[in-house]
Amino acid sequence: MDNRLEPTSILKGHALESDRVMISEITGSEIISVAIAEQSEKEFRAIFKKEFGKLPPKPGKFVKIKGGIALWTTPDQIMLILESQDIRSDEKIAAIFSGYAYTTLQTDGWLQLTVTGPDLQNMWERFVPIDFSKFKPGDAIRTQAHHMALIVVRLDEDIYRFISPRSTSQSFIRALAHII
Amino acid sequence: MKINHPLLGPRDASEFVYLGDANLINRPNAKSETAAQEFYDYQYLRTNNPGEHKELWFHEQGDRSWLVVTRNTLTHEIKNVELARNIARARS
Amino acid sequence: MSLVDQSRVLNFTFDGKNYQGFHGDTLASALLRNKVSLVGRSFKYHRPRGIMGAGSEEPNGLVEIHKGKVCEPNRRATTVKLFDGLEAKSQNRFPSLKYDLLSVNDLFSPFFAAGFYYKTFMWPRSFWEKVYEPAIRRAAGLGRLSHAADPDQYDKGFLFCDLLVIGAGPAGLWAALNAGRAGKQVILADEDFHMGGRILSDNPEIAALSGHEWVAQILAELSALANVRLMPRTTIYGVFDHGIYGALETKTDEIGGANTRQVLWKINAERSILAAGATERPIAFANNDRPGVMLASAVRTYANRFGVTCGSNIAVFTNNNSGLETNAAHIIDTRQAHYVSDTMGRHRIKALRLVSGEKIRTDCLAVSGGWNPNLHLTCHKRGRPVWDDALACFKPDPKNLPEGMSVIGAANGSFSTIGAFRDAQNVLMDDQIKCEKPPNVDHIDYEVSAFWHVKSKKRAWVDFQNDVTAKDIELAHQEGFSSVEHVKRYTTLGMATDQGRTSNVVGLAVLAEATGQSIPQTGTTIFRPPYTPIPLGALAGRHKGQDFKPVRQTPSHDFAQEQGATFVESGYWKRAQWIARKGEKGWRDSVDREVLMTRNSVGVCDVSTLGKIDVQGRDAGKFLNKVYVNTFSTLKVGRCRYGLMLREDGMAMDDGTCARFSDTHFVMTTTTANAGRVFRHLEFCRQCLWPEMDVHLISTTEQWAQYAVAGPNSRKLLEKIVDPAFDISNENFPYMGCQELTICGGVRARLFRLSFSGELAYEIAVPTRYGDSLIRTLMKAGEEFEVVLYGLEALGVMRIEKGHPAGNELNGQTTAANLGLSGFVSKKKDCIGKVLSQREGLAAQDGLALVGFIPAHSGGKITNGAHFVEKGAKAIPENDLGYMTSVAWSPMLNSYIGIGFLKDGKNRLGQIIEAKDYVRNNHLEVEVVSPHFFDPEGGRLRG
Repeated sequence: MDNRLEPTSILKGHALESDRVMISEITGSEIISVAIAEQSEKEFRAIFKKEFGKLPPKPGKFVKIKGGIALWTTPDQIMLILESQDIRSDEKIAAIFSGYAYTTLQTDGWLQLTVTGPDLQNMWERFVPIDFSKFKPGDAIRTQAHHMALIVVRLDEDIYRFISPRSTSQSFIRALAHII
Repeated sequence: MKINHPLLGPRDASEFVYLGDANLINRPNAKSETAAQEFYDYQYLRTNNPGEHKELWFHEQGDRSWLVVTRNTLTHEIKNVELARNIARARS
Repeated sequence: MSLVDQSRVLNFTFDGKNYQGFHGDTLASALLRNKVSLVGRSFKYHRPRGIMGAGSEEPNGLVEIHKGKVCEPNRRATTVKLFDGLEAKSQNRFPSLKYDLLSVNDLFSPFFAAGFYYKTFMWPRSFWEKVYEPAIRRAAGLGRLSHAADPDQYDKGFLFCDLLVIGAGPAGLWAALNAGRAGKQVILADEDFHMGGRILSDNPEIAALSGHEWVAQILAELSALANVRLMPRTTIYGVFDHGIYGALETKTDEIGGANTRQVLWKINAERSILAAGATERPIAFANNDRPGVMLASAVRTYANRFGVTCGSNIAVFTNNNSGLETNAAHIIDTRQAHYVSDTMGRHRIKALRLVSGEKIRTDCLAVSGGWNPNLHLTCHKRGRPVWDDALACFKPDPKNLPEGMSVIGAANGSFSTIGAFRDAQNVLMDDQIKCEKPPNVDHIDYEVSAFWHVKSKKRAWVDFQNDVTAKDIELAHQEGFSSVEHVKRYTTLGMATDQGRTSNVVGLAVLAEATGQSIPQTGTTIFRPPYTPIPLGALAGRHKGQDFKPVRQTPSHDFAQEQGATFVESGYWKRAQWIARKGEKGWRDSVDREVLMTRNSVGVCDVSTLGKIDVQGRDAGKFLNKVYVNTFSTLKVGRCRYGLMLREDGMAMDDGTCARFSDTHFVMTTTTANAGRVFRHLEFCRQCLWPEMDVHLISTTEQWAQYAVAGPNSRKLLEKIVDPAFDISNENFPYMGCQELTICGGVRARLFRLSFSGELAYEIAVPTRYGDSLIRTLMKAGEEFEVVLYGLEALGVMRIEKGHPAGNELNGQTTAANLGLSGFVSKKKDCIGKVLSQREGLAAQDGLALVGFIPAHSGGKITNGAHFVEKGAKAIPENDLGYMTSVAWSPMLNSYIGIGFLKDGKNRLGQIIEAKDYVRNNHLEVEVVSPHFFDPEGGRLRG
């Protein structure tokens, strides 16, 4: 019997659009959390620099790396977002850090949205308790919107990435639709 | 209410969860002769003075750090915010 | 030149009658324009009342705004922006405003004096609940609720600025303009829909322009500044901690529209400037509440801003020189020893009488008793105002302002336009912000001579909305209620929806005269947020109905919905409770079937909601030893173990299974309800108690879609999807094993051999992207075994049949011993909760123990929550032996079964006791049995 499994996206192609902003789901991207082993900060930074060409991100920031970005999540953890589909990418990253870091695949736990449009700073004032006028390209923040966790990354002047838990996706989209 | 996270700057109270007195970091030694009494005091007894209070907050909707916040219970002024793990490490 | 647009006519109704007004009118100005002088009946005495003020301080003109079935009560006509189609009605009168039957109350006024509720209605005692209270409630209140759902949309938001300017009168406008020009992020908020404050009301000449023109010019410049946000119709209602201000923005007065009606803002401001102006206060004299008796400043507002004359023959009664700015035919000035002693007229003032005896015909009496700075916000952080004798008013205490706040203009006692400009300039200069020299404006210094009350045998009103007179205050003092806090509650002075805006200070002065103390000695009561009323809908924002809370959906949600599942809310989750089939009449039919089909063949259930926590690190095992009562460092790779977690006080907190995938990698499960709590607790242990350990935690609850596959045919079903490289036979994959494998041609998956149901069972997990596909594939592959999709109820029935504790048993009051798990607790190590769990009271030998119960007589129905007593014993707390925690109809035993906690339960097996349920009135005899009702040896799961 041919039992093939097909992956399904969360929004199934549904997108949000208004005259100010375009919001759609990102598929084909993997999220891996990387926890730095105790007393291994130095080794971790060295391996990270060697592999990705720059130092790990600082609090509140992300860095661009080959194939994606790395954002700071907590004092001993970062989150890698790699723009390619590889369901075992966590194992590959673990191998790169060979014992100095522990990885966990997190892609499937999140809804990733690309949010684009000009001058979106004051679009989110009825959504997130963050001062967006001070939120610049290069910044990444984890907060909450209407009781749902939300990671916001400002990739560029007019491009944001919104990342929110998968299970509340429908509620999250409804909450977004309210304000766009 | 706002808490000035030492690494992330001021953040809205909605991102945090309160636990209680920062003394909870000082967990007694279970092997001590007087462990029963020490754990009882640790779990239940508080000086509860009005004024400056050191308390534990969890940045649940943020970076998941535990923070020790020095807050005045009368004026609500927050004097200091530190990463709890740094305090815990210094203690041990 | 008024600010209304006479070319834009608006139609509205009041008490069913049609009227017209103009764009820019308030409902109050439009009513006055139409010579409507009677707008309501007072609270207690049902006396005829008219508009008294022109702003949010209005005590009399409270109306209902209607739209269809919806009615919004207690709206101040002075703050309703007139719109086309507005339907307004007066309140608190029956059958009509003109002929109100309850005005008979006025005749019995001597009996309705202060404290009358406390002195009457005392006997007989039984009448209080059945007769007096219902009658008083019916008669009380001003507005009525329609009981229709609030049709309006509300929202909430967050704003940030360098400077929040509260009030857009001359002081606020000048401060905001200069701060804006200096590049600061400024928010300028004003409660009115037209900014300008008293410049709109008095229209003084400023810099060779009319006041109205000057305001327009300033607003134009402010609107053009990108760093300035103008927020009209926005009341800053409260000052909170750390520079946070609460604001309520009204976008429209129209009810039930599609657009958001109001937004509740949380404003974060580095600095704030309170420029909220001042409110005029009346003077108390006999019959001072007649329609047509108004605040002098309001008469000028209606004239200058709205182009409405309030009378053709106006008289002014004043104790200060601002009252003299009113255009009037007669001036009565207390400083000239002239006083009004009484007014005449029924539904409108016709004449007044002076203390000297002289009678003056008038159709409008403009009263000015002085001005009170609007200092409420300065007191929200427990500040108290200070009395200023020269100005005869309270002012903010400069030494005790909320952090970051400065006060300027009339709010700080500067009762002139030039004073307002100078205050703004000084505050900005203190902050090193450049400020243009203020424009030229004529002014006369404010001069007042304190005068509060013309003494009389007749009633003189102090609090118009709550119908409190000077006599009431004197009576309260006479009866011993002399502290200002007591007088407030005893007389209800200042407790109405206007919170004493026009009455507090006059009332204090009357009290001071009665007690012989000074006003500062008398003191004030405390001001608390909100400054003006906030609808509950605004506090809820958009979180109502479908948006009340976020909904969490499981990976199989869509599939379950297609199958016709009935869902239940489990925290934020929606979980399938049962999946009914055609022909089934009730939930029992479905649930019984799901249990039987699973136990007879195979069933599949979505268990993705259980918390999953990735625990990684060299010290992961050591860490788990600290948080679980049993040992995990000894768990072999490829094996799972049940774990019990205690709170530090020794009570059971949560349980679950932990799987080991490598030396440094465990996957812990928690109950659905406690996932967040356990994660928080574990992070506390990691960061605060054992920071030196190499252990890291990631929540993976949503990363994996996880399905329980249970029943005698479960292995056969799984063998159809597990890739051939993996051997899941009983020999190679025994009970409590775990492994990473692939299914369906290479898809990454994890398999756990765990059983909550007691059957041969597994849990199969795939990354959630495959969750929907997997459930469909499993159900298709299982067709040959008549696989059943089962829900939460069947899951519950099966675990009760096996006697497994779950949330009901881990209720926060039970210990490992109560749960029958003391043997589980390792004696060799400390863990969270170990020491305190050994307290005498918790470790009693004959304490509560988890056992099972079946009806002693066939056909009996057990209900949950029942308490146990010995057979024949009285059902009183002293005889309480424990309680039932989980109950189900067992299709396997064809009987009701229950598990619960019974004192010394393990030694009572076979005994008959009574279960008492007084909530459902269900009492029966039950037999105490082992909680493991079905397959107690566990043969089925090890096969």
